[in-house]
Amino acid sequence: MTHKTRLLFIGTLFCFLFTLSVVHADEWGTIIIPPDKPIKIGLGAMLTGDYASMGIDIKNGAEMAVQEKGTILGHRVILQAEDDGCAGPSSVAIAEKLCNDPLVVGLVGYMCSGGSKPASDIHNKYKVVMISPSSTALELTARGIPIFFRTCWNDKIQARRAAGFALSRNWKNVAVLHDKSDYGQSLAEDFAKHIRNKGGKILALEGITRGDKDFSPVLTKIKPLRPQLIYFGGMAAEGALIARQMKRVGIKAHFMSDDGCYTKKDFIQAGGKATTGCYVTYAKEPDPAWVKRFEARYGPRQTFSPQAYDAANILMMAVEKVAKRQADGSLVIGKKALRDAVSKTEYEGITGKIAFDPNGDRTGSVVVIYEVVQEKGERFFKPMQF
Amino acid sequence: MGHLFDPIIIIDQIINGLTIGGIYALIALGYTLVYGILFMINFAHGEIYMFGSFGGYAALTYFVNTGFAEKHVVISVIAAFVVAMIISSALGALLERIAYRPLRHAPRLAPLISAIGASIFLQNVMMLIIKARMQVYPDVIPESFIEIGKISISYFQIFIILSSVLLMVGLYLFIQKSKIGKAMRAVAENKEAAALMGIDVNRIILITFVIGSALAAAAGVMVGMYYTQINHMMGFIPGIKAFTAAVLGGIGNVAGAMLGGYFLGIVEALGVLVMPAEYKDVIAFSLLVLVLVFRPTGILGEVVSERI
Repeated sequence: MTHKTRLLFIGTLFCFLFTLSVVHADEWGTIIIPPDKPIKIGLGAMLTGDYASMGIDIKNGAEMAVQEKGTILGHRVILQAEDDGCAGPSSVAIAEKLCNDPLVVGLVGYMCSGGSKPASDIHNKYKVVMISPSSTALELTARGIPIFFRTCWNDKIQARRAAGFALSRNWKNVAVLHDKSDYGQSLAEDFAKHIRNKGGKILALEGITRGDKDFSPVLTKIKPLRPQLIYFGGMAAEGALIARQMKRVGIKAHFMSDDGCYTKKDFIQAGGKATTGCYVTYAKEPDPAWVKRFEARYGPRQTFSPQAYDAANILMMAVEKVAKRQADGSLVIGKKALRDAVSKTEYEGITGKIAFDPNGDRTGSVVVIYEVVQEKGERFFKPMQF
Repeated sequence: MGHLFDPIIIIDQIINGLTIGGIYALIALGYTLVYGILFMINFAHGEIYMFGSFGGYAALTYFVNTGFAEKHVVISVIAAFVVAMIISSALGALLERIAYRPLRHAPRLAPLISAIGASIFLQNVMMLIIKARMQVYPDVIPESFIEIGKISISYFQIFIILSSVLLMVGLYLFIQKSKIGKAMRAVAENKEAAALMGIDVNRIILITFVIGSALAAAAGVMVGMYYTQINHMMGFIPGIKAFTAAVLGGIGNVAGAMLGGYFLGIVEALGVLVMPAEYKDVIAFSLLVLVLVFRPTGILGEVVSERI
């Protein structure tokens, strides 16, 4: 081989290797974690404000998973929690910030459906995977966004279960309230649809404003309609006040709400005795051994910490699966590969078996009806047989 | 729709309206007193109300935790009011001294901006103190209500309506009959002339802030006890609603602020009967716009509201 042909040979070899590496590069691009840099898991939840105990609970769940994991392929994993205020504008700002952070591999969140919806468009632009532990609104998985997943349920199931329970108790005259959010309103309307379809009657369908504290005018308006049940689609701060104030204006109906009200601190304790006998819907109780571990560390669990724990673990497992360790110690993670790994999850989590359907919804989720009961001087959520 | 005009429901709604209206009126008095004397809107007034509410919360929680509240309910509640009023009055006086007095002769936009700055500052101070989480007033008074025929009134509502009326009557008498009240009216009419007559204008202004703040604190404790949930942003919406009430009645006019507060509360409650409930705030702010367009001096207006 002459000098010239050898050069040519090496040249073609380089070209060949280069094209090979292009073929193997991810079509959505790659995340490169340099050596000695940590892997960041983002988190968006309300950490200050009226629903902060729910958001802090989510943060604690994810933090526990991240700290238990410690490292992935020699890189430390850290959680970067941001306060999304449970609303669109701040979630979008956080999405822009985290998606442009070169060390963020994915995100647990956002907490509220109203935040997840606009933020998922930003995440889709940058193809950064997100797993929400708590955004249950119908439309989130109906918009063909490939990077959105959730470890909670779809409100389709929640509304159907709640309506089925109401009808099984023969509560056919129902007044429905909601907080005008993406979450509360779509849930309440879906609930009303199920009741109507099964021969029940919707006496009123009214919106209230988040952050308001006085609901006596709307409850006084509903009172003469004599509902058997008041259903509320929304969060615990308002739910607890409605449960309290409906007794005050003299409504003798039952009260039922959703997972937004499944929190001991903001619903049972904040609502006082008026919440005894109220019904809420939520998932099956998580693994009791995990709950014990969690509560030893953070105090009483509120709502979505188990779902956040599972979401963080799924994300970290997917990273571990697709990350390629380079000779210099850096990690290369294909964004499409990461998304595909998450979507193919088969995982026995603390909230049960987790797998996703093509839309990003969790398959086989179960919604349970809970009643607030008082036993031995303690008030808590007790699962109902239904 | 027939049931909506059932007189029972209308009476129930009027009672709801009087309850929240009394609270609006108490806060509105603070706006109106300050405007009457200084011709400025104290936009930090909602935060003074919020601090009062937290003062009452701290006192009541302390009494409940030490077991004192169980034995002496009435004393605990009165003490909570006193603590709240002291905290808010001190804050009001401090605000006047630090944020407004140095700007007394500045262009009139300056104190307004200073007030908005103070408002944001105070919200954030409370946010740092309470870690930005909602706080819940302890249940001290057992919730019970009386039913007269088909109308049900809770003792709380009676308590709020009566005590707000009592406070306002007290204030009215104070302004009309007492020596300080007379001085306040004199300062409102003409500061220079009042000073020439030997009235310490700065002292009267300080007293005005203290009185307005104490009334807001009372409203804050009532709201805490009745609606139970308080947070660091709680002063914002009631602050604007009370401002609306003050403008409605004619800002600067004490009787007007009371009337405006009750009027706004009742209109909100009755409006819900004919409109979807989500328009409750829309009703209040549409009223504000309408009054500003068609009768800027308010219902009883006497001070021309061109000042701001």
